[in-house]
Amino acid sequence: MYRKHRLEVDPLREQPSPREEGRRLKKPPDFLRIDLAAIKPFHETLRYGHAVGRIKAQEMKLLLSHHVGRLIEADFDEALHILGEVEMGDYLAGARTARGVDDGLINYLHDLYEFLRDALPQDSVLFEFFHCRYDFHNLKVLLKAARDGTPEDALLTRLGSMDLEVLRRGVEHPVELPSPYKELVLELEGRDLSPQELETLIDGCFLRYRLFLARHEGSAFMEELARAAIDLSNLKAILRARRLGKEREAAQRGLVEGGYIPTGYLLELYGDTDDVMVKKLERTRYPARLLDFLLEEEKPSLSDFDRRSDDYIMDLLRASRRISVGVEPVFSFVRARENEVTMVRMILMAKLHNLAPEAIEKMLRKLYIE
Amino acid sequence: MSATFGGLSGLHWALLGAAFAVIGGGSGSAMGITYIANVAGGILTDLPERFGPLLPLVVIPGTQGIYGFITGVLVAFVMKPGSGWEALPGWVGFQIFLACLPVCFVCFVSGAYQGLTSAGAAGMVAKRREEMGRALVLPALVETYAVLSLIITILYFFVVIRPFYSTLGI
Repeated sequence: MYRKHRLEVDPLREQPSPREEGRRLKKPPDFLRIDLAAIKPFHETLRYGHAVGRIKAQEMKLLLSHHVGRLIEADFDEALHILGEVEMGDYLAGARTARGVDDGLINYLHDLYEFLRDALPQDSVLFEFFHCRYDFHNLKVLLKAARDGTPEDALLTRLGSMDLEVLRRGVEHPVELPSPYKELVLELEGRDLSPQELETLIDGCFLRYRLFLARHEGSAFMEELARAAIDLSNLKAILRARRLGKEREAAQRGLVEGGYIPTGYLLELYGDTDDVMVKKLERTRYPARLLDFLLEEEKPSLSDFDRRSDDYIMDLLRASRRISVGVEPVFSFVRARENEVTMVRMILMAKLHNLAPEAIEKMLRKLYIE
Repeated sequence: MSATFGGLSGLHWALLGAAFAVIGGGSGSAMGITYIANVAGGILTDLPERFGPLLPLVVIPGTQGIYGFITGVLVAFVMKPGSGWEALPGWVGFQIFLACLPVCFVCFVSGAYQGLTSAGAAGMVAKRREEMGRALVLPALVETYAVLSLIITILYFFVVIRPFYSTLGI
């Protein structure tokens, strides 16, 4: 499997997309200018109509809240039986261990991405938008292994769009890698970084690359999600740094530019008390409920912030359901399926470790379709 | 009475109107059908048994093209072929041209938008076959305006323009 979509520009630098550049070079005379916003619904229907049709046929097979309710109460075997009612069940039949569950879910995701590749128009970056996460993950594992000699095989995922051998060679010879991986490896070459710093840099590059892809696609919806993901990642970095009592400069290194909240404003939050931080967050586009768990007496872990972040993103996706044809329903469907995988994995792992239903319920995310 | 109007004869104006109506209606329908067929094609890839319920949704934007065609044929009838229509005064031809414009524009726009509405409604049919009736109502509402434009065009032809003919001795 290899990347179908190659970008000709360096996505790590701020620059206009090739489409924008083309527009600048071949500017039509005023009387020939067409208001693109006015024809967008027609253009999007032509571009994503087939993919939307295919996902509409698949939406019936999504996990619903009544399935989740029963999954929480069931034991492991019953849970697998309940999952048999949806598509995921075929992939998990016979799973008995954590490894079996992971393998089944990876196969499920693999088929989901193949479905996406098949349904999307050739020039869409949506496939790359979802897949690049795994390529960055694999690159991270390989770079860490090359620096520290840590074992890599168990951590690598086959969900990436780039062949693992290409990535392995690319770690040695970065010029063989496509953008933005080439620029990233070249940037990291010769630098003495701790594993945490390495991870922060790669994650930052991943988030900026997704923002670049969203802008390249010209979708305001994708851009909003990519920028929200940067903000949520920044907020998490601030919370983690506060919790670990790190210096302000250390917190600053974990921040990524490109979100809606300026990094300077986030650094101001760093020195504030919890209640001031929650109040200041209210002044941004994000709801205070993202951070109000900080005000509780018993401080929960950062995983609670992850859950709230995922729920916030799910609210954005749900809002896009009013758009019947376009990139939005396709994007939301894939994200909903990924969310399903996260939930099912959580539930099944909890069952394997005999967690109480109440504890499982606290960890669960919102569903795309209630 | 001038045989031409704006440099064109009555026959030329009338044919121009008919051509506009056919082009507008046909283009709108072609666009609309393309949009819904795109989505329906996607649904049918995974659910071929939905062909029956989806077919009316695919067909419905095609009606605008039919209205354009009807308008084109009516122009020929309004001109009364074989009874001196070559001598149709320019200003009467221009009236026929104007009468064709409602169908031309409304069918072009409504055909395309009906395709979009049908594409949205197709999602309902994909999920639940029994929703076909409700799904069909939504694009049918867009149809209303195409029908109204055709009615207006017909009214212009037979209530406003034809009565002039007797005064002209055609």
